[in-house]
Order: sequence, then structure tokens, then C-alpha cells
Amino acid sequence: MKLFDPHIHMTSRTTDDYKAMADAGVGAVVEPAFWLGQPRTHVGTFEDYFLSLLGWERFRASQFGIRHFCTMGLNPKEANNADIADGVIELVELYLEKDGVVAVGEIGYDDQTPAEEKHFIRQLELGKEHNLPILIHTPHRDKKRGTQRTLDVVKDVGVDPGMVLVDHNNEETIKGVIDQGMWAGHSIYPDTKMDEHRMVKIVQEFGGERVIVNSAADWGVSDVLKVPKTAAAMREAGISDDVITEICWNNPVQFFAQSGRLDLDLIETSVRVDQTKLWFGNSVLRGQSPRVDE
Amino acid sequence: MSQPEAQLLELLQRVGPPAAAEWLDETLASLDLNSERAVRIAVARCARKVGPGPLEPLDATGLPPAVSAQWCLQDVARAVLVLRFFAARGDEAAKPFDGWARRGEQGEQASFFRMLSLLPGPERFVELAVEGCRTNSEVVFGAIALQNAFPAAHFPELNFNQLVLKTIFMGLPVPEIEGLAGRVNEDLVGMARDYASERNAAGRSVPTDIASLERLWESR
Repeated sequence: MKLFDPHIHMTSRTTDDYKAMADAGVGAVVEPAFWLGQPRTHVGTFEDYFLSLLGWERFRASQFGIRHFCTMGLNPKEANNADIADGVIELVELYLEKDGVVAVGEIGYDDQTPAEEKHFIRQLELGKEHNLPILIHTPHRDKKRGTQRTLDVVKDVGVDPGMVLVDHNNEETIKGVIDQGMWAGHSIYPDTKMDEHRMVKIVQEFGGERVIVNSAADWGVSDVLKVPKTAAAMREAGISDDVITEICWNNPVQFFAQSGRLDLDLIETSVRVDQTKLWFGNSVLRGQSPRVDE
Repeated sequence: MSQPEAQLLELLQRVGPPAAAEWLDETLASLDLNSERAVRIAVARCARKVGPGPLEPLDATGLPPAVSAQWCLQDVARAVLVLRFFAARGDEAAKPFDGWARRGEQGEQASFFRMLSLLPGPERFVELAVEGCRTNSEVVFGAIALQNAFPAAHFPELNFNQLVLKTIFMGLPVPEIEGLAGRVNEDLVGMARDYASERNAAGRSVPTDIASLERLWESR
């Protein structure tokens, strides 16, 4: 079964992770632009980060047989930094038009401050202007209210609910998201957020329509194999392969295909791995013999 | 020399290794306070010349109230350097200080955040400290949130509430948030209750600090 991890920060991960993901059936990923674990102090560092998402990271993924897409946005935490926020939004506008960018994101609330709200609304508008789906992060602290406020703001700005994926849901937030006609993402984590067994229960209650799972793996303790592990947990609990495929492949494909930059026929084919290829003269190999698929 | 500065110097002499106090004396004697670069280098160098040793034995009498058991030796030396910088440069010291705090490594950041209440016009550093709370570093976050009077004295309610919630999230001791009893509010208790409900729905244990927050609210 082919699997899609629609929220994973691969720049923080190793080539071993890519290999393990490919071996476990992950054929495509979306890497949302986010923060790097500590605040950036210059607008220019965002530009190089955006370029690495579009360039080196997509190449690295391809070398292990994985299709890599990304989203562009100013993350909620750094939206609070008045020295850089406006400059980054200007960059986001430019980078949203690039090939391989399948959504605006991840945007939304962290502390739920006025600055976060201002840049959240601005980026929702950018999604409308550029006809792109929108990936929304929901806050960890004050989550219930933060999620409700997110839904209200999306409605106020007048974004088509079908173009919105609200992420990091739990038992208490999913209903509100699904009822609004939006897509509900779930980040399966080793300890916090959601785990695969709780996810099984959610699927048993809500079914697979507009339900999405991801690993949200990053530089912290997280697990790049959480999508395959959740698929396995669902199968073990007797959930049908059709529903598992809907959640772990069809839904993210359909959601991000609304960008017009994810080819529905191409995505069903395998990536031909050719590790003799270079990226600006750089190889992912360190003296190993290159894998070249037929 | 201001009184806090004299108290801090005396503290370092009393509880630090002799070499640390000597180094600071020599540095202060030759420091060009018009050179931001020189002060910044001296502040960074405290890590090696003074170090992160504990303030033991700590006798709080005759010390500025900002100094807590959370402070370490290098915090004291850095506070002396920064106080002297402010004394020499007045209000124009604030901007470079803000930049140092945003670009410090975590030990420096912890020192800067611990000393905020000692600085002239501390309220101008609210935005800096609020931004500092967005860190992933427990050391830096703890320096702001725990045994530090600054947040309760200066944070707007929204930011103060987020600080308390983040303390719970990070598993740090809520009772060490100074001035919490005076700042507890309905919104904060509501946020904590929602978090308890979320933990219950997930089949996870609820941090005991949430119940103590409720008690604090009820007994206000």
C-alpha cells in the first residue's frame, strides 16, 4: 500500500529516515515551512530556508524514491517578531508561485496574540489570491479555544472550507473541523499530540472522509514511520483497506492536488531512483555505490 | 557604583572562586564602555572566566531582590557588566542589550532574562521577555518563568497566562512562578481546565499543578 505523509519536516531528518520511510511504503511527503526550533533573526535566512525546501530537500527525497512537495508560510511563532514578519510575508508571496509548492502553511495561532492573528488573516487571503489550499497549525496551549477561533477566522475571511486542512486535531477538536467541511489532520506522536491507537478510535467514530494523518516529524523526538504504523494499527483493528487508503493516500493527494501542482496521474507512478544524479554538484552519497533503478 | 552593583560584586567575591572575582575586577578596570563589542565579548567570556557554578551559600540578605537561588555565578558577573553598561550609556544601552539577548547562546540568554528586574526601566523589555518565552530551551524558559519577578510584574495577561500554561506543558514547577497568586485569573483557570479535559480525553494523566492553580483561584 502506498502511503503519503502530508506533514513532515525532512530538513531535520537523516537519509536513514528517508530510506526507512521508502521501505515502509511512504511514496510522497509534504514539508510545511515552519520554525527551526529557535527564532531567526533575519528575513534573509527565511529565503534560504524556502530555497532549500524547493531545491536540495526535494532532490534528497527523490534519491530515495519519495516525491517531495512543500508549503510556504510564516509560522505562528515567528509572526510575533515584528522585526522580520512583514519582510517574510513579502517573500511568502513570491514563493507561493513556485513549482512544488502545494499550499500556504503552516499558519495559524500559537500564543493567540494580535500579531499572530494579523499574519494569519493575511496569509489566508494569500491562499485565496493564489488559489492554493491552506495548511493550518492549531495551538498546543489553549487548544480548544484556539481551534474554535481558527475556524471562526477562516469563515470570516471567506475561505472555501474544502481548501482548508486544520492540523494537530484531537478527540475534542475533530468534530468542529469536520462539521465545517474542512479537512482534519492528526499528528501521530510518540508522547504528545495523538497516538495511533487513539487514532484508530477516532476513525471508528468519524470514518475516513476528510480525515488525514501525518507524523509531523521534525528535530524533536518524533517518528517518521508514524503514518505506516497508524495504517498498521488501523488494519489490526479491522478497519478496511479502502478506508486506510482513503486516509493515508487519497485524502492528502486530493487535498493538495487542489493546488494544480500535484499531478494526479504522475503521483500514482513510482519515482525512478538514480543516485548517480547530482544537485549543483552535490551527491547524497558518501562513496557508496549508487542505486539506479531500471 | 550603584548599590546593586556593589552587592553583586561582593556576592561574587564571597561565594565564587577567587580567580573569577579577580578576572571581573580586571575586566571592569579596563573595559571600554563605549565599545558595545568589548562589553559583548566580556559578557560571553563570563562563561569560561566565571562559569555556571551555584551561588552557595546563598544568603539573600543584602542582595538585590532579583537574585534568586536559580542564579549562578556567571549570571552575577554578567549583571555587573550590564549594569555598568547601562550606567555609562543610559537609555541608549537598551537597544544593544535587546539585540544581545536575542542573539545570545542559551547561557547568556538565561543571564539576561534573570537580570531584567535589575535594569533601569525594566518595563521596556516586556516584548523581549515575551519573545524569549517562545524558546524551546528549558534553561532559557526557566530563567524567565521561574523565581523571576519580572513576568508577574510586567507581562500582559495573555502572555502571563501562556507562560503559566507553558510551564505546565514543560513539566516545570508552577509554584516557582513568582507572583502567581496575584496574577491568577479566570481565563488562565479556564485554559488549565480545558487542558485537563484534553488530557482526560486522551487517556493521559493530568498534571497536579492544574488542581493547585484552581485552588489558588478559589482562595484568592
